[in-house]
Amino acid sequence: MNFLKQVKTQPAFRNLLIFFSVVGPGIITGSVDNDAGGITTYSVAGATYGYRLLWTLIPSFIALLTVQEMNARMGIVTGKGLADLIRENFGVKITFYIFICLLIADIGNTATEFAGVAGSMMVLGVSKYISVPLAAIAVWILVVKGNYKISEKIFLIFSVFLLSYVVSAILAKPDWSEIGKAIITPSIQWDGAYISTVLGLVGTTVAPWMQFYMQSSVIEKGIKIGDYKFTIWDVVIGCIATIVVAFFIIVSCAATLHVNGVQIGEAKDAALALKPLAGVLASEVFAFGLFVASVFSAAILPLATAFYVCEAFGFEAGIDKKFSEAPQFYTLFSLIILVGVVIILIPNAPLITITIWTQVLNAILLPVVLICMMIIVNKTEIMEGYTNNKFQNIIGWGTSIILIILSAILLFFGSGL
Amino acid sequence: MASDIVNFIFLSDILNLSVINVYDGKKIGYLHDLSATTNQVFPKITGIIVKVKDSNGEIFIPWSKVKNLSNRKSITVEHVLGVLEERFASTDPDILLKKTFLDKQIISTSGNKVVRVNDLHLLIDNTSKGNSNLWLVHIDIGVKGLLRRLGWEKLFNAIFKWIIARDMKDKFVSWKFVQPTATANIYGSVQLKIDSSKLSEIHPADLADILEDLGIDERISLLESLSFQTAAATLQEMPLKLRIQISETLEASRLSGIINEMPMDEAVDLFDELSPECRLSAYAFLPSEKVIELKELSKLSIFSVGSIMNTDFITAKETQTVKELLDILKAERNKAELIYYIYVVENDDILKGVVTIRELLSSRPETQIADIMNKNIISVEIDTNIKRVAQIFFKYNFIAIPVVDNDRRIQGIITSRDAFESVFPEMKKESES
Repeated sequence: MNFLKQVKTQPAFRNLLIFFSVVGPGIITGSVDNDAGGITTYSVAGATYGYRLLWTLIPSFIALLTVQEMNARMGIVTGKGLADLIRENFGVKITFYIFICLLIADIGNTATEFAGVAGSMMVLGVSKYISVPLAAIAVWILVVKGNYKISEKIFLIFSVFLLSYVVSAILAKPDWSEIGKAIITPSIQWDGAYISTVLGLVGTTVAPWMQFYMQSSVIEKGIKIGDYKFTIWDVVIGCIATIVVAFFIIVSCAATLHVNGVQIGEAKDAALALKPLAGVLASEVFAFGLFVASVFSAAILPLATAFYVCEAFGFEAGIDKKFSEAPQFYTLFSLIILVGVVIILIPNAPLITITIWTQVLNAILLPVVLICMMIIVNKTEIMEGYTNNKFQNIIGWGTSIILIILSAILLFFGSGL
Repeated sequence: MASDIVNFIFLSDILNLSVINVYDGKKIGYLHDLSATTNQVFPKITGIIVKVKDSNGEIFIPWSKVKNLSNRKSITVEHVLGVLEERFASTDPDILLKKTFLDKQIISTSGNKVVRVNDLHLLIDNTSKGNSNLWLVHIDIGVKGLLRRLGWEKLFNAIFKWIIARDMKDKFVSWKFVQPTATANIYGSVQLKIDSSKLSEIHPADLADILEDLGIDERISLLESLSFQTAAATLQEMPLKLRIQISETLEASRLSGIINEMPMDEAVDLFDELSPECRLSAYAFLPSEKVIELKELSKLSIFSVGSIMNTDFITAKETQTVKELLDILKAERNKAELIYYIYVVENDDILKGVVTIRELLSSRPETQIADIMNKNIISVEIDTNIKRVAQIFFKYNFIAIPVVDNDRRIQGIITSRDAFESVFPEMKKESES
């Protein structure tokens, strides 16, 4: 009793308490980032190039951190979502076309997530006609019937499961000294396939819809500006988690598939190929990780999309509202899931075409959203004393310009169009 | 004007139209915004803001100089060069319609919710003699307004008509039910005080929902425009996190005004969650009896004796002799803050009694402490409120009181000086200056 009281007055402990009260948005966003699409990119990169692409994770980390920190700051200072801010500052036209693209891209993204569910459960021996509808229903109930607090806790637990890739990588017995070398010595190879894989790696880390999600969830948390320093830690931990998971996926594929010269096309192939090389356990752990990541993102993506579309056009939104209060929000959310599921369940659906077009839309959107963000975050009338300082602007614009160039290259060469 | 009839026009129909000088037929620039006065039932347009061609400047042209507006192709004005910036003599500064409303959130007081403005519906009144008047009458929040802004209204209306066999309907909010959430005035950065009289009919619970949907600045400026009583009732309906966020953003004088209107238990709960700086600055504006009450009811440890007690004190065992104890006192005399009382404890620090230095000095050296100690001790528990401690000092005239935990183990002492200082911070300030 007495001990507890004394502990509570300790500044370090109080800070820890505040930290736990603001933690969530950064870590969840970071984890959603490693979705089915991300895992596919990492697996293919590891299988094709071994450890050689590990260095790209460092610039990816910086880009991710920069962008998410700005979103968190904008959310805390203005209390407005990114969609709100874009609508109020750039007018209805830009907003509308951004959101039409985002909506289409995210339906594609959601379909990719359900493809991840289908693929991973197939490895574990479950038919996609059972796994996908069940996953969709579970996700729908969790979001619609649950409340934000419960959902957030479940999502946080989900993020912990992503660490199963660490297990998977260790089971693959990688060569750690070679990994160390590969991280600190960037190797650049001037051929189209290598460059487009690099672009894919960086590109999959910073996706346009994530910025909207990050900002909205910071607002939903009701974080005050005094606790901003704790939110930064949330963001940093989220970004580290993203990169660590990516690292272990690449490592586990590099140590097994690349060494044995196995080529793969999607994440499910990686799980299957692991079986003879690293054992059934490694294969199943990998598939389980893919399943968790896919379900997780299949819940957040439609939710985030419905949320920011409603926000931009002035409909009520939020999972703590009832259906009668926010009908457009729930309709949109359900529709996105439904369309995603239907696309996956149609026999012989053109999945690869859908994936490519989703990536193309993402690549077009990212620069637009980034530029909007950089302009807004530098407006004193909106951000008051919390605009970017010189250093943040250099990093921010630098990141934006590099991502824009990367997206442009990806758009023209990488997508194969 | 060409016609005598009353007709309507949308803001999006005239925005960005060319503004042409009627004298020389030259183009001045583009229509950028409208200014309006809000001191009548409906906002009456007082002039137009023109973005000047070939430069970034904006000029204001009063409504009396605007000749033709409604042909939707261009706007003609009598514009005399040199009188570029005619300002208002009015004490009531005008608001800018586009900047205040278009794409922003407003509160619809008929529907009790926050909606986003897609367009503004203006009334041209040609019935008055001389110049016609332009009024803002409706705010368009519908899908049709959205499509109009995107330039797709005709296409979609045709499709809609083909399917449903009627025109798409506008979704308007009459100005009477529009509460702006922020206003931009003609002077740019100056934020006008919002007139929130339209909110008076809304129940605080609904008001709380509405405020939750707004951005932080809008939320604060709206809350500041409410009466303390309404603001207090509204604040109570909000989630605690938001309540804290808002309280810490409000000015201390306003916050204390609102807290003064709250029931005591609500106020205490809120106060306990605020940051110490915020709490202190709010105390300054509250009546002193309110502050005392707030502190007394507070569950915070900083208002209990545990937070200010001193942990340097001298203890002795019952079995020790007066001489032994005097030797210890000599050794410890510089370390402990107060050596007047020596606390007699058992092995596990449980308080048994107390001896004063006066009693020690007047006893024989070989006397056992157990024989001279006072067993009847006044002590306070660690979570006792400081004010209560001060009352004890006042009553018993001690120099210090031991502080014990639930098992009567001594944890520290509190001196009368420390206790009184904490109860009357202002006394401390005065004595220090």
